[in-house]
Amino acid sequence: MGEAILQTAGVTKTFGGLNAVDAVDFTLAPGELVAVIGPNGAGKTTFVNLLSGALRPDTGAVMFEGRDISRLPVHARARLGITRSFQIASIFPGLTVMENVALAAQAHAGHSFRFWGEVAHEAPLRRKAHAQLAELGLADCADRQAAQLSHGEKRLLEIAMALVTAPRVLLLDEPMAGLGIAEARRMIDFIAALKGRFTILLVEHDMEAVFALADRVFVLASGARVADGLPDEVRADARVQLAYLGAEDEDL
Amino acid sequence: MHLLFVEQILNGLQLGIILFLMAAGLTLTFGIMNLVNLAHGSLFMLGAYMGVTFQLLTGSFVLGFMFAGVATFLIGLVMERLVIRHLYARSHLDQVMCTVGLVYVFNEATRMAFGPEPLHAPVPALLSGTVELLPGAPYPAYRLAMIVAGLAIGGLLYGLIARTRTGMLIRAGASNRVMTSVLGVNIGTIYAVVFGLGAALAGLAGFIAAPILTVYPGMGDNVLILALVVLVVGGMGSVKGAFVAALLVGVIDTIGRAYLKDVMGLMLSPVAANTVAPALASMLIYILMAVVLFFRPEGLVPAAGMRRPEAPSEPASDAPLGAGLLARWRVPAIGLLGGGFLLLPLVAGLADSPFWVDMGVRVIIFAIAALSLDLILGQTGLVSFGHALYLGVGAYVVGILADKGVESGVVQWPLAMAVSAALAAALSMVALRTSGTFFIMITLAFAQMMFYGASSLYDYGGDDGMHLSVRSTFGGLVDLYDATQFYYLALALLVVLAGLNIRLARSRFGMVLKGIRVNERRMQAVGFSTFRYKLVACAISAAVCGLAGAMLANAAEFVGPQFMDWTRSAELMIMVVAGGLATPLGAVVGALAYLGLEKYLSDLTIHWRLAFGVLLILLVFVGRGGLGALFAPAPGGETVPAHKGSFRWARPFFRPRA
Repeated sequence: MGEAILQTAGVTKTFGGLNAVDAVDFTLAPGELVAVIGPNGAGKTTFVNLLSGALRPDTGAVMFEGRDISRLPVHARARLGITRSFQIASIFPGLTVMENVALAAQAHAGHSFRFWGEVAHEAPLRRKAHAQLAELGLADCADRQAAQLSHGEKRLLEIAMALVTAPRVLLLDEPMAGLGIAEARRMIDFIAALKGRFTILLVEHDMEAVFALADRVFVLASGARVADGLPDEVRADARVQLAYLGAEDEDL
Repeated sequence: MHLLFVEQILNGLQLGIILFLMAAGLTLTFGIMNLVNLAHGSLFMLGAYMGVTFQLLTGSFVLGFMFAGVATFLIGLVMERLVIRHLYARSHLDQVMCTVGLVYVFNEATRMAFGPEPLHAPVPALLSGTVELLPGAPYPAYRLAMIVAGLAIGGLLYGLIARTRTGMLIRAGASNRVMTSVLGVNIGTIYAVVFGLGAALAGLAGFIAAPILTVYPGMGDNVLILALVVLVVGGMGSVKGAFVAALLVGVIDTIGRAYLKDVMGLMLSPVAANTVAPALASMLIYILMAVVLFFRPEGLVPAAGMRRPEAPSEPASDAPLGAGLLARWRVPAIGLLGGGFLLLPLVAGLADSPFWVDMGVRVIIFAIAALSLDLILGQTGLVSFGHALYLGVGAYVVGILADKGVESGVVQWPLAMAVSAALAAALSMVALRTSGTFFIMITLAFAQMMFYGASSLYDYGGDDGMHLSVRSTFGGLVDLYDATQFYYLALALLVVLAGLNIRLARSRFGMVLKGIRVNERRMQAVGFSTFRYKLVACAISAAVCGLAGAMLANAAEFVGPQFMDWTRSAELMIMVVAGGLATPLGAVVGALAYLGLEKYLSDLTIHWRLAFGVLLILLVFVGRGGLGALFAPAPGGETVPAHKGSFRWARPFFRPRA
């Protein structure tokens, strides 16, 4: 494993007595795709929120390229290149698909305190957005209202908005959630195509997707790290099975 | 000195108790129903009127007290059933608009029923004496009884919520409304009871306070704003917080008014202390609120287990009634409107009605103010309820400069804009740390703070305001004393500003504002520091509104705190919403419709506000999207044909923005 691009050292987040994330050490190397899995309530989304800046750790540190970014707000981390997608598709429903992606590109193309020029005429933004949409097969719906897209297309749009910012680290929070089988396959293929080009952290419940995509699997249970290793090792790990089965029991 | 101090503390406690009774109802309805109810002050007033009337009728204070409570409880139930219930799922903006409509209705109905003269509320004979708490310090028995009664009511409320079954359901409903209803509790009934309870508390507070306050139509509005401050300081949805904050606000306000002048006299020259202290004293609690918000945005005693309420997600997308009905008349209508504005002085001259030109200037000035509000309200989605503040600031800059002998508009007007922008930047630094309901209340409270601040500018007319000695001069280019010249100057400014507004909406900056309105969290995740963009939007908006204020001072030849009264802010908001959000045309149409209707109705009847309040409530329920929606293309379908050939230049102005 090379030099870590994103790293946590003992990060902890407590919600009123509950350790949602408990002293987790985690590293992500450039170009790697790490899947974070765990039973419901394991703290996966909290962990992503700690990485993206939506939450600040109570103790411990989040490091990006060796620099402590624990105190940086969401937008500052996004500008460094840590971009996320949301578990529940988070787009701009009233804007067109093209505007959605162009707006994301705008965040990384200089400041936006420009009050006169029409943004719709900024060729570089539109070109970038268009290329991104074409890559995801959304070019045909560029002028449609984002609200009119199907659920699967909204998920893709959400990822297009993340990718167009040329992220250094991509945090994908359950990109497959709520997708049909065919759409999920399409999403897996798509993420597979991103592998190697981007550094990706993937939170996912779909085990088929996880074991098809991940270079490394990181298992959380009750906020703590249970296992961290190659997919096959993790699959065989007794502690992981216990964590899942134990949690399933509680669920029932 | 010490005895006097004790007396002031008691006065403060007594104000605090009244505020607590008001705030308790507000905080319950807010915590449980996530409802902003600005008509709560009307219940205070109704309690006072009904209780006192009944007391005078029966001669019994106790009966009056009971009647006030029961009557306001019933009024609350009816109000909830007819109007409030339909607001729970609506946006905060709708809630504000609708409850302001209720305030108009209640105030005017009271004026019709009881007349405009204040009602005298007698102190019961038993409590008319004084009590010697400390030797040599007589204190009115009634005021003491108020404190005791208020504490008793508060204790009963605590017992009800903490000990009874109903209270348990209320608490359950507050912490998780969905779960509570899934468990088989009729949440609708709980809401109704809670609202009625809050109404009764406000009514009782009004009745208790009646003998020491003046009972007049609209008496509840000022108390309401103080109660909102209490709510923000104490923490929304927390009854305990409301209690602590109410006493704190009551005592600080009273002590500040009594002693700030002496304290400042120690540091400043007596003259300076005499000027600054009264203004500062009346602003003290608002400053307290700003400080609390800055360091503890969730209030002093945040409600336990309550998540920070968020604005209801995406308002239901049902199309406004009659949307697109007149879409094909869009271009002719705009042409007519533009032509009308252009030719108004000519027509007025022919019709020998010079008054029309003055009216036109007024409409244009308010259109500019509405346009400025639309930048933050319509385009950015920030429900600012204190925008008239900048109307006032702009006016005062002109008034004070004119008083000091600076008469040139070239100096006055840009300075009015700069001061407004600077003030907005400072206030927004605090206000923008909050969102949703908090933001509404804070902007309202800041406007109110400046209103009281301006009322204490004794050198500049104080409460009464002052006459503007001379209108702004423009080096002989434009003479504002010539009505036609003033009119065309205003019109030109409106056209320029509307054009800038259109450009801005399409610029990078405008796109960011739109993104913030639709999904702010996403904007941050994508890398925008949304705070900075909102701050700049607020400053720009304030600058434009300051310009409108500078013009208004000239048009009225008067400057006064009335310019920034909260009803003014409501008016601006109504104009923007009535005309249609996020379109410059909406601001113009809204200003024209509002002022036209006001003129028409007020010629018709002195009780025009009653009809107006009803219209406002209807606007919320039936007229979503405002008048502008009538002319917008029907949702989903493009009904406006593409403009061809020589009209290409006009396209951006005629095509409504999505």
